[in-house]
Amino acid sequence: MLDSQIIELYFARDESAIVRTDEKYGRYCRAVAGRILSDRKDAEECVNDAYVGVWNAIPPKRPRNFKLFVGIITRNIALDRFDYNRAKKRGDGAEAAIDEFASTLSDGGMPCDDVLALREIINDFLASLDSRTRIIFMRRYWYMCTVEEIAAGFKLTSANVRVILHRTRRRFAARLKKEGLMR
Amino acid sequence: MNKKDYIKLLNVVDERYIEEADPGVSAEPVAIKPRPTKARRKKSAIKYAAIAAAVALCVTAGGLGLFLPIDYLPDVSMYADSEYYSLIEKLNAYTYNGPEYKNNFQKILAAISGLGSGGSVDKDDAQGPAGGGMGTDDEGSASPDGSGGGQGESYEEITDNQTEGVIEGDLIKRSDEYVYYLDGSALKVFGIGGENSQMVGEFVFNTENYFNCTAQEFYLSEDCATVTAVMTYYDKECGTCTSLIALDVTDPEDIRESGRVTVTGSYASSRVKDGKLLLATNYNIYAHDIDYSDPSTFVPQIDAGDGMQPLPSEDIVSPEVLTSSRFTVVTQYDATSLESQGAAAYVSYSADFYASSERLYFTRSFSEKNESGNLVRSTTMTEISCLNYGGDELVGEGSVIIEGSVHDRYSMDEYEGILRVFATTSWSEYKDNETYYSFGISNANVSLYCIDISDFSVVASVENFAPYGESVQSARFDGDTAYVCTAIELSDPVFFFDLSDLDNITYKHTGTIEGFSTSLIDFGEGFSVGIGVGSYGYLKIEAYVEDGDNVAPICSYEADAYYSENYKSYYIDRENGLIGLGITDYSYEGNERGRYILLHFDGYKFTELVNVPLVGENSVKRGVYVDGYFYMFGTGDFRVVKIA
Repeated sequence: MLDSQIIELYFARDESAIVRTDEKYGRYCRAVAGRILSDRKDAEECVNDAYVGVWNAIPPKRPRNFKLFVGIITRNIALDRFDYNRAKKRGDGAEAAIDEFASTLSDGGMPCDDVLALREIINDFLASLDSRTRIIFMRRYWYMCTVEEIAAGFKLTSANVRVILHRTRRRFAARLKKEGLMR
Repeated sequence: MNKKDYIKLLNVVDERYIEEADPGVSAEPVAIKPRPTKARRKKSAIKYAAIAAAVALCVTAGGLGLFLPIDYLPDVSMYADSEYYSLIEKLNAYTYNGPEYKNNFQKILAAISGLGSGGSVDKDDAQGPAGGGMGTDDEGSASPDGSGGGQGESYEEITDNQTEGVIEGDLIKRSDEYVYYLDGSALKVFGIGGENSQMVGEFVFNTENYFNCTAQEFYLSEDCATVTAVMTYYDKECGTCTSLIALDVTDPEDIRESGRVTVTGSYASSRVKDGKLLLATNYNIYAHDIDYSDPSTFVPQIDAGDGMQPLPSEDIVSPEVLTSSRFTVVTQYDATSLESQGAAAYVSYSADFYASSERLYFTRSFSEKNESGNLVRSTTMTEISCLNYGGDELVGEGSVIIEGSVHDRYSMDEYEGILRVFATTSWSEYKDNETYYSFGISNANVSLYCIDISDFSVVASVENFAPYGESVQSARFDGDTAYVCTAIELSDPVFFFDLSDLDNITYKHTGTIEGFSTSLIDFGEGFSVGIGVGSYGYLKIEAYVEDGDNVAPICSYEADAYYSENYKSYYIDRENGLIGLGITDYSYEGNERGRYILLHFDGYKFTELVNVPLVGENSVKRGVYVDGYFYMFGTGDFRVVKIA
């Protein structure tokens, strides 16, 4: 079933929309959630919560890219739940990625609340990267892939990937600071 | 600000970068076992030591029964006197989760290695509810029975039923004097009088006492004396319920409820044939809630005015082995009196069904997994179950399993003892075990299967005939021919199949053209009309005709507009060459965007006859042409236009 057809089901308030979403993107969402939450049951609950989020968001929203729309909601819910997991000393899949990302940025202060400016600058920054570096950066900090997975995908050593990530994080933090987006 | 808030900064990243980095799209991630850290090595050492200890324990334990298989299937023999005992046994077998370990040795070993690794895989307490609520959808229930009554009105069928003589429910029905339209929770009756038409009566369903109460669709009896509406709602005690409500409409100014029957479960679909109303509802059995001493926890209930009663066991048909705790339940009623005709059936869960003149076909999709090494190939399969409703009782005739998934009921058709089915065959491959969350690859194509319904064997097929990656978007059968539209996203081959000789099935196609059709309509005289989207994802209506070795597009109508893919929202009048539908047109501003258009197709081109504002979701807008006037109905809106 096409995305547009699934979205139409949401607009018609047809509960089979959720079934269709799960058929098409369930595994993708579980992958997104599963890399953040190491517990399969938590990931499953997170995906179910994401479907509720999609149900509540459509209508009125009509996402252009439905797969990513569902994925982003799933990621946010998983990140929210991640704190809970950590408090319980469970789940360390994404912890390293979150820690290294936060530690680099927190050196420069806190990001400002200007979402529009952040959007513009962050995307401009990503556009300035070569595609390999950009994909490595996004896989690590958006999809929470492990360094080893990323290295295998690009036939690089883990050390090489870590260096690339480190340099990119620093460039990222420097750019935000330069643009006055850290306070 | 905590750490996770920093990483949430990436929420504002453009979708293209997220997509670009998707591990399932570009370079395939490989599960790598990281080199053990010191801590991990220590853990591993503990783990191995524990396992060694377990092995030693095993040796010393000798014949202590460690290897005797564990079998905890609950005993339900105490319910042997229950009329539902056969069903209880099947449910018990299905809902039983199976032992976590095959024997005590495995159990002990797992416990020990769990200690060593510092965690456990919470295999969890069981069955759980089988899915949430399920969608209601299309079809409806209805009417005719031809016995007297009424005011001399005559019934005019306007729903474009898939099977001739098998009536589908709709939001609109008409007689020669009135148009009946279900507007939200109100049935409205409009006199047919051209520009002077107006609403003459209204019946508002009581929705205040129920949660999430929705009037789905309705039927009008052949004598035009009774409207039978389908309504769903949520009840605290019974869960989701579906009611059939009969209304006496002999006097449109004084419409009264004349009967009601309620069945537990959500509405799936319905049909009316020869005065018999077939209602399909979807019913969930919640494993945690099952109490075999209380049939209401596992048997659908029917309330025909004397309180909820479980369906009699003799009316329940169920497969030998249950494969799901979600069921589609089919019940039969007299279409106007709503008297139960005592037949019911459990079949595999199905969101919709296809009804031929004598049989109902239900589809259930599932995945079949085959492992090769650490690579898992998951293939979508569909079980098609058949119930014969031609006699006094529903009779299960059999089932067949085909590869692929069935897009909708229009992808199935029974003709001269053969069920023809278009299916999207799809599979995906991924690496199993620790890479549960890995991203795999998937693929799709389209196949045609011809199934002999005397023994449910596949007697002919054309497999994977579409371009790589395509899936069924719409299909339509017409006798021994068939049209099917396939697409990936915005490329659209329309195939024409000649099924007159199953030993020599031939097909031809349009080649790739822009857009694709979400509905294909056999428009008569060799024409097929596709309603779908064009190159920019907006509305495109296109006519096709078989032309020598090809299927040729003749003409098209495009608008910068969205439309509903609900087939019943289209007005199809083959006799007058008319196609009507509600649209949201972005070339207009604000409230003017909600519109209704009526096109005329003369075999060469589409001519726009009507394009007027109409309020409401496109899926609930309806139109009908009567004697030179076109009547349009929306949410709280009604318009009449004279057609030149």
